[in-house]
Amino acid sequence: MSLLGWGLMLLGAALLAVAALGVLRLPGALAKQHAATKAATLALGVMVLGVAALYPDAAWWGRLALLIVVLLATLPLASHALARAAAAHEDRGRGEPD
Amino acid sequence: MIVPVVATIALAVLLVVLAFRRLRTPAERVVAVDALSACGLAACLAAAAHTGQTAFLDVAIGFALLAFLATVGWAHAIAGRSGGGGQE
Repeated sequence: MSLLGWGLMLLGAALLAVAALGVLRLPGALAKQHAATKAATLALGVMVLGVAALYPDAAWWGRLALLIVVLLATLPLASHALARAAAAHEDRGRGEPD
Repeated sequence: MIVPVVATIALAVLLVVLAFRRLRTPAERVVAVDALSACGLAACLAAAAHTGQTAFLDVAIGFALLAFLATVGWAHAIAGRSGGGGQE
């Protein structure tokens, strides 16, 4: 159980590094955001699973479940708000119709 | 067992900080700040797993809410500055 937990933690950290690489390499705000949000959500979910495997206890699992719910509820909303802002900013910078 | 996890999280932080040099628009910078907050959350989880204290999980939950509010706030600031395009 300990090996599984730490393996999942390491996998999550590696996914986070891939997300950071996407922020570094991908062009444009929307593509960067696609990398950062989706990969980071998966990475944090895998790390939460790893902690849950390390400590099979009700006090831990309750907090971890709450953390998962908070992450799954807030990350897409923040990403959506930011994507709208980026799209509006790009339109405004490119077009200037009037 | 904690060392490779922390080293990988540090690598992610380093990549995001390097990315800051290339970012031009405000939206891209807020995306990078969002990625940094994800790294902070990962560090909270690593600290909880290493020390065995649930208090770090409470910190992580609070930090997730704070990062959400910060990102939405910055998004509204960006949309407002570019002419109100993102307002409902």
